[in-house]
Amino acid sequence: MIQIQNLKKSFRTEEVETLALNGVNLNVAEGEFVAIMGPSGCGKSTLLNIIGMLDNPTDGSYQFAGHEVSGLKESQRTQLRKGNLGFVFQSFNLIDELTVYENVELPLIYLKMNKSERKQKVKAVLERMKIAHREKHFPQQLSGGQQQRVAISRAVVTNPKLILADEPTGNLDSKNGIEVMNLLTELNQEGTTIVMVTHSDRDSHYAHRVVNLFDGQIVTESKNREIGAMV
Amino acid sequence: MFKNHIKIAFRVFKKEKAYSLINISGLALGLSCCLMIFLFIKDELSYDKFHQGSDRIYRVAAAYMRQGVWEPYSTNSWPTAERLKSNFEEVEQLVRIARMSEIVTYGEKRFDERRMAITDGNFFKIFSFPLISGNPNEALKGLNKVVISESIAKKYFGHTNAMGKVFSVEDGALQLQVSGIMEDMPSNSHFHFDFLISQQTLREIVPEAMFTNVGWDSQYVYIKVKEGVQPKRMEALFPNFIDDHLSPLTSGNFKLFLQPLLDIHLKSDNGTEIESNGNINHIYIFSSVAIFILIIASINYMNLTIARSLRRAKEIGMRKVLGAHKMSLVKQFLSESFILTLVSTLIAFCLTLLLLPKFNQFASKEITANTLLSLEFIAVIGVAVLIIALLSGAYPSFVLSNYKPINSLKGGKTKEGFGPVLRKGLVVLQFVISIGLTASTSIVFHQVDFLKNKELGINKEQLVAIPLRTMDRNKIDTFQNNLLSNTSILKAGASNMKIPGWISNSTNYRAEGVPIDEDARKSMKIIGISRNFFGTVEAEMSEGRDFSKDFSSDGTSSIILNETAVAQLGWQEPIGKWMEFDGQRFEVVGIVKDFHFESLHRKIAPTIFLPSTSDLNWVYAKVEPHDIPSTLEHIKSVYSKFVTDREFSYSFINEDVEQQYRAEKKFTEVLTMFTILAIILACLGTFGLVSFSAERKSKEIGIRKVLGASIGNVTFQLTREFVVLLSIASLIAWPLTYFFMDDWIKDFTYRTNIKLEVFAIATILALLITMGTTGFRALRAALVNPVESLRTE
Repeated sequence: MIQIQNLKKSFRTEEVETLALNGVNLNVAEGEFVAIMGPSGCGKSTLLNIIGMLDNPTDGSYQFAGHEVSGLKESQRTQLRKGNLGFVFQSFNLIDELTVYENVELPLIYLKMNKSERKQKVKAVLERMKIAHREKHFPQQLSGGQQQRVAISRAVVTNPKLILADEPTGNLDSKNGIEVMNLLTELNQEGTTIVMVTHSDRDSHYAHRVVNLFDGQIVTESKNREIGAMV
Repeated sequence: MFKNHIKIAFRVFKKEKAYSLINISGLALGLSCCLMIFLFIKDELSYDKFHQGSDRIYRVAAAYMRQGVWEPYSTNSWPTAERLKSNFEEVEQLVRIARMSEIVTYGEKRFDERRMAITDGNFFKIFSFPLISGNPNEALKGLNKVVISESIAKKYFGHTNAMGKVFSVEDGALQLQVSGIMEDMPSNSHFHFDFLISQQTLREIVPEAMFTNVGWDSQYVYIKVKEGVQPKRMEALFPNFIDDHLSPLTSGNFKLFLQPLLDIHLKSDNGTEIESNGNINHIYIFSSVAIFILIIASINYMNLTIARSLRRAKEIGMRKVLGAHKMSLVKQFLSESFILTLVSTLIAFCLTLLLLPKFNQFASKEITANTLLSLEFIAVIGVAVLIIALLSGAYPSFVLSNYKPINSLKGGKTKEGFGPVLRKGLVVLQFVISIGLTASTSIVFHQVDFLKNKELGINKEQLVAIPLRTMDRNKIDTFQNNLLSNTSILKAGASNMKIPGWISNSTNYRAEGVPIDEDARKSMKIIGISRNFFGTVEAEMSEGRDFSKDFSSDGTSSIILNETAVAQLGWQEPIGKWMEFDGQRFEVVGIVKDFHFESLHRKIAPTIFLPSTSDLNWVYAKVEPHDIPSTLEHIKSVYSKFVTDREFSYSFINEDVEQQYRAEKKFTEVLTMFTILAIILACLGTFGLVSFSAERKSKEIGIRKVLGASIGNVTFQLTREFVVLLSIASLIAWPLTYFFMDDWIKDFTYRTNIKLEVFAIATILALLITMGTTGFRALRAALVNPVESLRTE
């Protein structure tokens, strides 16, 4: 699903140029659950953003489902992202002015889905994430765990092929963290590919494979289990 | 601490260059505009104030009852002035001024002078025009004395001393000796004369009747009353004075009233003003515009500062953590506001100084930089700076200083209290002002256009008016025939008054079948015309016939009426009926369709057209449109054979008509300029606000984009709010503007209707401009890589 070759990303400020990714090669197969680990500033989030098509690499090749993504324009990336990718962030990134229902509905609106179909899908996903009873609440009225469930609901409501999770349990207590990881594993078992950035050793064990990044390069890769095997 | 505030303020300006630039330029532009309006108003309000005891000086004006309405005039008769002086002990000084224009000759120099007046010896006891040479108490006493202005002294006598020099007027009929030189009358005087001729000289040049006839209104009469005199009480005595001393005038058909000297320029619009005056309504309108502009500029500042504050939330949090009190933060932001206002004011000051010559040209003023640099003016500006800085800085200061340090430091959302409502309210106010000003300007524009293009009932194109001045009136027919010898001159006719002009003659009358008591208080205007007048101006007859040489009675007892006159008389079949006036009976031979002899500011009056030969003052020539210069040359050469002591002059009627609406045209131009400025400022404001939204919603924009929102989606999201606010503003602005402009347009005798589309266009224009401004900023926000906005997380 994901084929990355010699990927480079540099950031330029007024005085210095920082190389965040320096020749990364990574393949992720369909249905795989990959965890990216590494110390702060090693380029994990940058890599995830590029995989999520939120950012363009400076150099190298990135193919998503056979399409070359690097060098695409913003509008083309948006088109490719729509419905194919779901995002889960550490700080949930829910829109405060929208209710739980409206937050989850948002990606469907952008897919120009009709209202009744949207309603059916949102209801189903909220039921599944056990958050339906909170659909009229605003994000500030929910606990962290509940907010992350909403964020996951929003990420999966379009049935994406790939979910990108950036420290999904970083802001949660261990109980809620485990719940979230179980949800992601469940989704993975249903066929969704997941790429997750994490600091947590515990969370990384949910993945099939762990990629360790250091100074913008992949230094080690280790396999936890085969695709399809339960923890 | 204060030093620290100032240092930080300058660093902030430097760091946030774009915001500071918008803020300073917006405020400077608004302030500069206000300064100019303020200078204009100050100048308008300063008229005639320079005279000592100006609050005790009045002009004695008159009004005649015509068609049930009092028609005011600025002039009075010689005997009225004489009798006022002897009957009212309240009067300390009384001065008469009569205007004249003559050819003045000194050696080889010969000029047609228009700014001449004959006045009393005590002129300088009422009016404080400083004399450079001569004694103000003596200069205008005696025969053939003249006080001239400094410019005239230079014009005629160069650098030699003008005192005692003699020049001739009326081709030698008068020899005037310079008895004084005065400084040029300042621009803020309601009259301007270059020659003041002693009153005794008047007897040399006017018929004796002028000194006895109370109906001969040629004198502007000014009085200075004694200390403590109440003008109202004096006015109350006028009706008895008229009945006792001004017969045959009666208090029923004539009245006298006092116009304070200081009110003449802005509040007087009588039939015979010395010069065209200003308009107090324009002062009110421009004051409002200045306030509006200042409001818009201040709102911009507030919105932009709050918008900018988000970037400074962390700084505020940190300062609080380090022990800053709320008040010290308020002081910090107020210092910034004060410095910014000060910088803007300095720029505005320079801008105004730079633009002053252009502004003077534009507003026909002579305002000098001295006014701008006067202590009084600077003090006013100082106070204004303080007020603006406080008003525009107070709200942002309190909002920013209220930020919770923990939230600010985390970069989380900061509560704004009633901020959003206030901010939206301010934007609505800006839109209301912009839409209101745009709609008002276009209403004014439509009205001026309407006046310019209204059918007058005559054909004003290629119609040349020639003043006959000293031409022998018995030779008018010959003059016209000579004109017509050139084939480029199609027709020629004459009248005793000028189109467009003011019909000064009117008469009471008796008419066939009309009861005497009914028409006793009614009168009609009366115009003397030549036989071919209607044909020349192309006025149409609706009944009967035009004057003709085939009817001998046309020279003695025939008259033509206009349709309004027939309506006043209530006649169904007017032809052949009689009217009596001036002790003579006339037969109505024709009815001319109503046409505008006077300006459109006046209603068409019931008018009698009397055939005349001796009493004609203007000849009209209808000329071919091609090669007008050579046709005018022909007219000039014919004219110079008939008039030797006057320069040839002429004007085109269509230009004269347009000239009458000059004040309205100027008003439209000034209003348009300020409207454009207000819109530019409002644009800056909305730009600031959309920046604020974009800033505030950067995270939301990022999330939406991650979730698949297109650039269009995000742009719409950001601009939608302004469309809603604009709609609300339209709902407020439309009725408000209608209310005010309906009141304004009601002052016009002939007016256009206020159309709905004027408002619709104003709103659409505002919408387009807003979409342009906000769209640009929103698009920029939408184009930001979502990673940028989410990175803060």
